[in-house]
Amino acid sequence: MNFEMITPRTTGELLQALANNQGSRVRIGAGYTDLILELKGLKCEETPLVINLADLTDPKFTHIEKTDAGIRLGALVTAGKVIIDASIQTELPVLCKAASELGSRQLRHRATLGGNLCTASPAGDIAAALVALEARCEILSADGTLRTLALTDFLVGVRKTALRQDEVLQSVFIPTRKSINKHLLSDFLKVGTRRSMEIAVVSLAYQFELDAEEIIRHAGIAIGSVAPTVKFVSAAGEFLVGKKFSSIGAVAADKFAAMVCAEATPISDIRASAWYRREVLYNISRGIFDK
Amino acid sequence: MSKQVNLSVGIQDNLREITVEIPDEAPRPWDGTDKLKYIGGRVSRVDGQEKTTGRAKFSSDIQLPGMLYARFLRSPQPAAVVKSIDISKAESAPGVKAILLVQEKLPMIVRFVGQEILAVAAETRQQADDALKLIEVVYRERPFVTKTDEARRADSPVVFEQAVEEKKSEGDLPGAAATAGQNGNVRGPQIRPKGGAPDKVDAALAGSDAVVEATYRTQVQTHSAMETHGVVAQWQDLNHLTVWASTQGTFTVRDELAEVFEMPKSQIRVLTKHMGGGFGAKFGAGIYGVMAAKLARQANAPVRLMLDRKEEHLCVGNRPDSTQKLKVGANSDGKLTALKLLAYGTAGVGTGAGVSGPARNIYEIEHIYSEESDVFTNAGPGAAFRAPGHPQGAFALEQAIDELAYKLKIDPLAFRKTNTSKNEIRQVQYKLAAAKANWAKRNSRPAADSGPIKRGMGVANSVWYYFYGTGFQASIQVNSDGSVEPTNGVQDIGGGITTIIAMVVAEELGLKPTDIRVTIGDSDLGFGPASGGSQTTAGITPAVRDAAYRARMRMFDIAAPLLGVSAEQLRADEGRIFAKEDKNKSLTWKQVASKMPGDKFTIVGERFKDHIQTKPRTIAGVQVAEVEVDTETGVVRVERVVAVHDCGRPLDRLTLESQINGGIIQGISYALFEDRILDRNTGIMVNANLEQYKIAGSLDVPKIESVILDVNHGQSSTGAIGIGEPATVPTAAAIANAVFHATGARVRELPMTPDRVLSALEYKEGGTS
Ligand SMILES: Cc1cc2nc3c(=O)[nH]c(=O)nc-3n(C[C@H](O)[C@H](O)[C@H](O)COP(=O)(O)OP(=O)(O)OC[C@H]3O[C@@H](n4cnc5c(N)ncnc54)[C@H](O)[C@@H]3O)c2cc1C
Repeated sequence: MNFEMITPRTTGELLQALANNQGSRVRIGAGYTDLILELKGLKCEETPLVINLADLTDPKFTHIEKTDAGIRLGALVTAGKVIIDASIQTELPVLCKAASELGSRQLRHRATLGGNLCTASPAGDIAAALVALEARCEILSADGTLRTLALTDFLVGVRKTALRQDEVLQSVFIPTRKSINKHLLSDFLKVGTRRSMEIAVVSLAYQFELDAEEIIRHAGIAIGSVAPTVKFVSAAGEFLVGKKFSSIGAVAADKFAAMVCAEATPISDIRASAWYRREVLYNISRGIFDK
Repeated sequence: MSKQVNLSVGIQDNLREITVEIPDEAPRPWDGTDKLKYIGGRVSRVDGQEKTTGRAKFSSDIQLPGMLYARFLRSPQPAAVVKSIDISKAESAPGVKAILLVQEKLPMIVRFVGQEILAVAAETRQQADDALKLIEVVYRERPFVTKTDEARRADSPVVFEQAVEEKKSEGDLPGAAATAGQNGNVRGPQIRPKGGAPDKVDAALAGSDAVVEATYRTQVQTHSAMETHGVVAQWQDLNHLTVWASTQGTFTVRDELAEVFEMPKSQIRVLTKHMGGGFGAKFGAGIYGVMAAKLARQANAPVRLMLDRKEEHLCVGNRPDSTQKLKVGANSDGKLTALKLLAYGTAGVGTGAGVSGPARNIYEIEHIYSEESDVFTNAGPGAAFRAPGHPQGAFALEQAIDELAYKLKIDPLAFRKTNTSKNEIRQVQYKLAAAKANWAKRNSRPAADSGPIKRGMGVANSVWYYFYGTGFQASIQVNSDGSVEPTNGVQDIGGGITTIIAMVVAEELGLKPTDIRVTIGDSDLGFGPASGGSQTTAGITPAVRDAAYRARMRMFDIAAPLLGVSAEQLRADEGRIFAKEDKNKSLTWKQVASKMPGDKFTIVGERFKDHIQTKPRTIAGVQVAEVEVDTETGVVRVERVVAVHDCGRPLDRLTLESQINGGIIQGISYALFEDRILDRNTGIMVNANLEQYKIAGSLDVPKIESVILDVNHGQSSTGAIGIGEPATVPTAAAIANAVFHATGARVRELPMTPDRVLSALEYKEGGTS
């Protein structure tokens, strides 16, 4: 494995590096837990060039920032940092749970949120939680301009994002929903065989906002490993809105599970069959309402 | 010449006296009444600190001045004829020092993806890898087959045109079809009837009150030791070769190299100072060892050739798969009547897919018929793997026994008790296992839990055999400064033999294990065992004790005149030599050593045959597994495993427990995760890494409670037997039985992935409703 590397330390240096180096041999590197594998597998003629983000100190890339408008997470925030952040624990528990299920402790220290999104794996754990949270991607391009894009539009296919060659992901933003008296109900359900170092065979991320009467006011739901990208399941979410959580019975739960599964287009691969993925997605969706 | 001694032997404290005859020069064997200081205790590894701090040098850490790095070019084709190879571009590539073909004359036939074609040695590994890309090979592709069932068909492509000679390695049981013929890809069947002709077995089955019949399948498992296969080879001169090898047999590697290079054994030295696991796949020099030595000779420089993880999965061994059609009968009194096993499996281009050991060696069954074949496929060769054939065989047998017990409405543990009534050790083991696992509290009804998470408890028996070699020679050098240095060529593959040797010597000499400087892992030292068949400890410790005992006698001879007593009156303890009757007559070990004539003395102890000539004796064990099955996802979690094994006379309970833990963890991994997957359209392994080839991680390890059953057999001076293999035999079967108990569904195929478990649950529901 041969590669060259540029390590910008400031955003200015980064923009320059992006402007000067374009083409198929350029890669962006953050925590390298995916990229190293990719570089090892490359059979290209040209030596890859890695623009290494690891030494950037610009807080826009490295910090978690909470304002009244919402929470902004830099692309270089690691899974490990997400887990211990107090505002994420209280406001975005689904993200906290997803981050804690990623890989292993060692991996969580390195794996970044940006890497998880840009790798665009249908099984990305952080991606699933952020899709459920309807996150927006903030993308910086070589000329210094910033554009934003809904995460669901950012993830365009298996290992494909909407990033252009001269762009990097700077951060994601999760706007605060203005609802009164809400309390949250959330979970990230990851099904695989091992207890750690496991890529999801099926995953389900959800965060519901309930009002004082237990009425579901908003339901963000995402499914992983059952389609080419992590998917936001809006119909099933809308179906729940206005219902009292504790009074959702077997019939409604079945209907909900069927609606979730309707969005799934699973395939069979070495990890599981399509049949299994569909079956389990149904069971765990339904299981949300098991008391 | 010989003397008679009385020994107290038996299970735990249930001892009886026997008289055995041993040579005059030999120590009285340790028995059930000996109160020993270290032996039987818990002693930490003497090399533990070295390993945990990273100071321990493994073969893969060896760096020599001017050392070259070698890499293989491997066939991307599962079956092909190599027509031509063009190495001209690679020869002139930067850093390249030597290129050698594995088979010098073409055409060469390749039979699996990953088969070695040639090797390149270069100054850096990167240069070697880059050079490989410049080599052009022309293959003529041939038809191939990777699925065992397809390979058995008459119209299948054949893997070998000619009959295949079986290659045996240390610790191997004979292949399924050692004596049988070969037909297409099928070698065998080997037929082993017991209690009459096959029709007798059929008749006995037909006449039984209850019969169960099912087909069981197990997967291919790769050894996946932490340290990969490989060597560093260095020629001292044209006639002297030194090889640092990651091996289970310093002497077996040496012998193979001596044969290949037609050299006297004494001119080859194999070193294995520390070793990162082998599990049965690391006995010979291997193509990598031979090619490394050839490249080193050609390039006139030391060569390092360590395989990577992908090569490890593809080329250097695996546990063959199996398909076992098993039929077992019993009468309503709970007695087994007959068993019929029809089995086949593939060891790829290798042999050794037999699985009938458990079926033939655990239960008291009058009529047994087994028929087993090896099936050749275009895949990497199988190799001995921790209890060859036995985890596979136990997976089928122990589920069938369980099923039969349920059918007869007999408790599965009680059923096993009845059918192993003559085995005293098993009877004690069942009692201990039941108590520890709280078997009595287990709901006798399967699938009794309500809710999606269901718990279950299952039991399975283990069987292995007592093996040991003879002729091993352990030396002990006592220096005039009092230091003690035992040496032997044996390698420590992680089992802890270094520590055991220190303990045995310390015990015998009245010193501390940390006082003893053990040197092993060097074929220039005394002949030692290969670590296979769970025989390292049983093989070498009697020779070590023999030498230590005679070293003590020599020290007593030196001390006697100094203390004014006869040598017979002396004892050694706490670093002193003293008169038994008068402890004031005492000298330190060091004082006595300082009075020896000359500077040092060396004594060689030898491993003779056991003084009790038992016929091959089985090693019994039983495990109880507790699982949690999530019926919504099919995920099985093993919560607890209770293991009771015959451990002979335990030497170090700590390393012994580690062996049991390791066996169980590997068993869980086999039961739930590991699976070598070949793409049938290309013959390529699709999960040749440790990301998709899944091995149990630390969070998958349950609570393991082992009961070490002390059994003083009195057979040798240390009484040690093996445990490395027995501990992994019943684990998968016990888990499968627990899954049944939890859910009421039988999973007859390994690994028990969530997908398979969920299908089994579905099938069960479909079948009953
Ligand atoms: C053993 C193992 C286990 C794993 N387990 C899990 C798991 O359980 N769940 C899971 O979701 N993932 C898992 N992964 C995948 C991986 O760890 C995650 O996807 C991780 O979040 C990637 O982050 P990184 O910082 O290491 O990314 P990198 O490897 O540095 O980059 C990944 C990709 O994103 C691009 N990239 C990174 N940052 C940016 C940016 N700011 N802008 C533009 N492009 C960028 C890179 O060019 C590259 O293509 C596992 C990986 C391994 C090796």
